[in-house]
Amino acid sequence: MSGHRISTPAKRVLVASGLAIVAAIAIGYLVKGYQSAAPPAALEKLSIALPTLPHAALVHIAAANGYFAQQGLELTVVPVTHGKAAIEMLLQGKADLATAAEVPFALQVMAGQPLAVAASVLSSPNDNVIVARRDRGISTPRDLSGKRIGITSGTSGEYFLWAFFIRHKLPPESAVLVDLPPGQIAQELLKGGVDAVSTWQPVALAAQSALGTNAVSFTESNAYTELHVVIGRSEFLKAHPGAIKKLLRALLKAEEFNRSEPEQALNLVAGRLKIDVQMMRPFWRDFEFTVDLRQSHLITLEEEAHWAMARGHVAKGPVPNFLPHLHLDALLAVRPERVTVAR
Amino acid sequence: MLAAVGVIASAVWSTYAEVEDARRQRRDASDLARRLTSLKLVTFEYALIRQERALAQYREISNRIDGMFAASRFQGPAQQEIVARLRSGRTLANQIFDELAAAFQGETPNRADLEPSRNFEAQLLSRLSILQQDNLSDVFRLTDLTTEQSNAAQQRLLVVILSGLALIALITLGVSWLIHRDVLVPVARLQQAAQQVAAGNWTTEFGAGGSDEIGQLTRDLGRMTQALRDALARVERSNQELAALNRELEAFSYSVSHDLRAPLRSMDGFSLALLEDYGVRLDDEGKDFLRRIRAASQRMGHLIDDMLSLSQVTRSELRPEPVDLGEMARGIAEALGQRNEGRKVHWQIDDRLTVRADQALIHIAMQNLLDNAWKFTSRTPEATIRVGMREQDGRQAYFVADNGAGFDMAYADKLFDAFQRLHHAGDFPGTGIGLAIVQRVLQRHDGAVWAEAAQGKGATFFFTIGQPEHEHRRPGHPAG
Repeated sequence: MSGHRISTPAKRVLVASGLAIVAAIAIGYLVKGYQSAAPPAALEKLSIALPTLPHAALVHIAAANGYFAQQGLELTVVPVTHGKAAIEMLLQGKADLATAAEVPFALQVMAGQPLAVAASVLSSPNDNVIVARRDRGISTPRDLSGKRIGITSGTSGEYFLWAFFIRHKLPPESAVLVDLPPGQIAQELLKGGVDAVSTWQPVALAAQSALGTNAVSFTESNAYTELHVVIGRSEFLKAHPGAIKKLLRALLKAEEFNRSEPEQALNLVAGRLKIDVQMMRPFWRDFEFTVDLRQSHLITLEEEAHWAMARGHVAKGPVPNFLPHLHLDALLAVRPERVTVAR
Repeated sequence: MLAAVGVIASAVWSTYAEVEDARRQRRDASDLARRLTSLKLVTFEYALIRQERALAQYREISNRIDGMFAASRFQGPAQQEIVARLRSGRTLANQIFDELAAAFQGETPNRADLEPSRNFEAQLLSRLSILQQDNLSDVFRLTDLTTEQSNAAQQRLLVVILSGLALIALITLGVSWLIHRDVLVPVARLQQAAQQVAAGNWTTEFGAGGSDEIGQLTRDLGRMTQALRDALARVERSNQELAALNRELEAFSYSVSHDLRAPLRSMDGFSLALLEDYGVRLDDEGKDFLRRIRAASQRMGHLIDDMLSLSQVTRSELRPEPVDLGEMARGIAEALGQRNEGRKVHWQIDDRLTVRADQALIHIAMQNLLDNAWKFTSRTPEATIRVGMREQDGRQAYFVADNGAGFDMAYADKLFDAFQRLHHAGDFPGTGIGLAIVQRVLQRHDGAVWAEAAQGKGATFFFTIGQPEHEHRRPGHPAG
């Protein structure tokens, strides 16, 4: 009985086992490939009023990378300068959706507009900055009291100034507010028409650059965290659940892209908005791009309601219930764990 | 197979370790969620009632949470990201809480500063609430992630176990197929061929076989069958030659025996004629010579008769039928009694001694056995001859027993040889062929015959019909 003869069946067993494993792996890949082949989605159309700002970066990334088309969504972008203007386009019926900071949204809700947030796409605690002129005797927050401060009325820039004053125990009404469109803020500060401005990025950076060494800047992460939200008419959002879900899926994919390829995402957004990458980089770091709807959003909106009544944007009265103005259904259907609103 | 089991076992062990790790992380996340909920509760209590107890509880829970973060074992990029955000949020929340505590514990502001202070505290509470809410959301997400991780690990474990089982099943199938192809099929083929050979089909071929042990065995069996075939062919040739010689010998014996009868009859006849016609001219010595010639020629005639009888036993065709040995024995006994009326013999012949045999041949055998018994009891005062049957080892052994002269068992092996005699012809006359005839008859019936005896105490002759060869030595003596 020789060893050679005994080993022959063993070799055959090994070969058979190897073939079986290879076959199992091949079948696994085939099944996986079959499962991942998504059926073609029906094409749906949406239009969105989109600020030419990095705050709406997820929308820009999704559009640039074709994520909307992949979801079977034909998204028409209506460009606007800032979020307040985007909401106005929405209200005028020139767009189905808009993206904006939550401040103009809260004001519109308090004004009785039937708007709702489909999702938040950004939160940033340091987006808003107060840029002041040193030559007007401003070097500390307290020096802002009694000064003329440029804001864009009804925006996050104005709300931040209010929160900043409270944070530093200053009476907010001690400042003289001057309403300026975002495009004139830097110019007006440089010109000396105002002593300081309170505005968002990259407008604030433009103002700092214009003043040069004469500029002094104040941020306050513990006063206010700005949100950027996707807004639509409540009825529209309810009537188009499929389209909204596709939109959210595309935004979630853009979020994933930004997380996995942050540098590529920054360059893509900077290129699309024609902003210098190096200029964007400092505040980009503070941007947290996450598609969600949080319980804390309600607290922020309620705080802004107090501010809006105190500032006289709306008549004084009870703080409205913002809960019906958060459209939870679509995000719950797509990524339920992203909805932390108590329910 | 062992290697596959080893690989599967290590994969299962590794995946099980992942499951355990994921479970531990989930427990950690749940603990963290519980603490953060407690922290939110005591923050609310402190904002509402501003008691030192709530403040102390906040500090204690906060320290515990910090300790949990320090011992954090969360893995995965998503988990790490959440943990980093939670740490940052916790730092911020503690900072704001400290500010709130300082504002609550500070001096009551003057009237001008009252509203800014209230706004400040309200803002702090709002911020704290937002941070704590976000922290809770994050830790719930962490719990979800660790749960997903645990579920995924459990699924992997299931997949690994199922894959392992499938692999073992595949290997088993493969081995079974190989065993079937390389062992069972060749063994079945060998078995079939061996059955063919056993059935007498010596031309069966075993085939070439494979390169393994069974192939070698197949070839060896093939060679062995070939060798047996050759040997059988040689035996067959020898048998044919022997048969031819036998036929020639029998023909010779028959013709010699037959041809010898005529001169013997002449010798006896003419001796008788001499005695009758010329007896008066012969003296007593001459008459004695003639009588001796007659006696010798008659004995030779008996010898020739017995030789012819032996030859007939061998040559005649066998026609088996039911035969009652008892009835046959009684007939022979009666004939023996009539021929020797002066003798008194006690016969014991059993009933139900039916066998399947050739009537004529078995009669010759019984005749010889009973003649012997009759002859060897001729000098016994109370002669007894028994014919019967007894069960031995599940077989039926028939016997003829007597209490006559018997014989020395030392010579038992010569008993059935032709012309062998254990007694002097003067004591018990005979040709020495009778028992050879008995043996030949029983051999033709696939039976056997053997004897048990003791000198002066009688003899018992056992025989079987249609049964295997018997052990010829048996204790006991039915006649004695």
